[in-house]
Amino acid sequence: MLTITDLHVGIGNLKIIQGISLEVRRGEIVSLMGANGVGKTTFMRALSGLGHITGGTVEFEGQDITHATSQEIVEAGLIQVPEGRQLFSLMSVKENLEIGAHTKRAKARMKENLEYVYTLFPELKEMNSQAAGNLSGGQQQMVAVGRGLMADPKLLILDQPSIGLSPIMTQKVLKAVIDIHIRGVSVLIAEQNIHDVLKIAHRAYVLEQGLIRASGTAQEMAENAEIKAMYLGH
Amino acid sequence: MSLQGLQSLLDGILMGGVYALAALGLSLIFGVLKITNFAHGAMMTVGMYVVFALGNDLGLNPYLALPFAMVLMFLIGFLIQRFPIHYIEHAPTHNQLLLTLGMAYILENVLLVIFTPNYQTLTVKGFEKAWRIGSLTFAPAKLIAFGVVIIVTGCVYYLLYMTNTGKSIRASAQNETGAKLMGINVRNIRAIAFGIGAVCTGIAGGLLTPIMSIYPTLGETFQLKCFVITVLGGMGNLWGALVSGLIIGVVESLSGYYLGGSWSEMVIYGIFILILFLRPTGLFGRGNRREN
Repeated sequence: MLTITDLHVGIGNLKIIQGISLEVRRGEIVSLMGANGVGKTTFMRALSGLGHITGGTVEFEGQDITHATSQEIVEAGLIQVPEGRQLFSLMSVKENLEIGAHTKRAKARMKENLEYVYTLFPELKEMNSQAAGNLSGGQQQMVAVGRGLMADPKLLILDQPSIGLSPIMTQKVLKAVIDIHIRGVSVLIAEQNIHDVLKIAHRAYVLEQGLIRASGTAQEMAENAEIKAMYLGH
Repeated sequence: MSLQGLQSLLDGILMGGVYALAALGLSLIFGVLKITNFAHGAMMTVGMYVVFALGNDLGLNPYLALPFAMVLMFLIGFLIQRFPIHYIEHAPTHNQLLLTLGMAYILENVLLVIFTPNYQTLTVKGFEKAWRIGSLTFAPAKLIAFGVVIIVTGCVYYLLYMTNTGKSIRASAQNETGAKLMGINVRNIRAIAFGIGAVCTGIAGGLLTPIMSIYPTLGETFQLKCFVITVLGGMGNLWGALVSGLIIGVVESLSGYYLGGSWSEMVIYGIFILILFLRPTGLFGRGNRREN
């Protein structure tokens, strides 16, 4: 579904991502793991057309989207829930969700998707008219995920959704990811919280200094001695 | 309050309405798009001259000429944002200032070439006499202008809060990354917002044509006033801009009446400085919260 080959991404003259190849197959949850500052967000942003790609290719559903605009990428069904949530903080929860359905395809399924978001996060319905900026971090993350779902994704990219959340909220968001996956959406999730994300992912990649250090099934990764020592703390 | 006092209060409200509309346009451009637009006054003058030219040369009623001014102003605003300003959006403010000031000079000089620097007045049939209501008199053009301001403001509000385009404008202003990730064409949306701001300004200019004598650099007097009103109302707060516009109109008119015309500017800027001391974010400002 998503095939990334030897991708290079820079910020100014800095080469941040130095040749990453990664694949997400239909129906998979794939995790991109790595410590703070290894380039997870730079990589994720580049996939949505918000980065300076200097080499390699990104292919989504057979379509080359390496140099596509973020609009074209959203229209193709690759949707990102960005790091830091990036909500429209002065607008209401409902408006944030509505803006998620911006493309024609998403508008056509707006009612259905809104209903699904409310079943996934019932508390959003009660906070409908509140300004998104006034919500707690966890609630904001729900709005961000909900807004992404309103765009009717085929593949949902989540960039560190658990950042700054309490353990309970983290579990809730990860549970929602499983639910979204069951509904037929493939998922690529970047996380620092490796312990939790390996429980829900099928496969995982470890990113270090702009390169893939290791990859395999979630179980292989969880049992990998080196990864255990570096990231899981035992 | 004496009858003359009441009269100048009402005159102030009517003029304040036109200020408010011009400031509403700037509030969109300066407050929402964060572009320091020094071509605002010149854009207002373009609106004045479109109405003047259509009225003077073709005999078109100024209010029927307004739609033409609106279309032209939208195009000017859209193109200015889409091309030159787009490339300096993230540059320091003084770069924006220089670029928009350059735009102002271009617009003003085009007007100078076409219309000469002379003062010109548009006479409108049926407007020669003031309308009387009780013992108060009203210049018809001012009264109609106020009505148009209310209608246009309502339309802008509807557009920004009820339509998809309006929601996209507000979303792009509040979080550009978020807007892009939802598939919004932020570059076009910003150009549309600038176009709408230019339309408000152009209408405000066009409404002044039957009220005052016009000349190509007239906009400069309104330039600073619009900035004062926008800041006074709280950056990007559209209702604030409207109320502040009315306040400035009334203050100008009353201080002119009670203290003499030469005092009015001093009183306006005095009040402005005082309010900035007491409430640095403006009368209706939301405080200094970052929006991203």
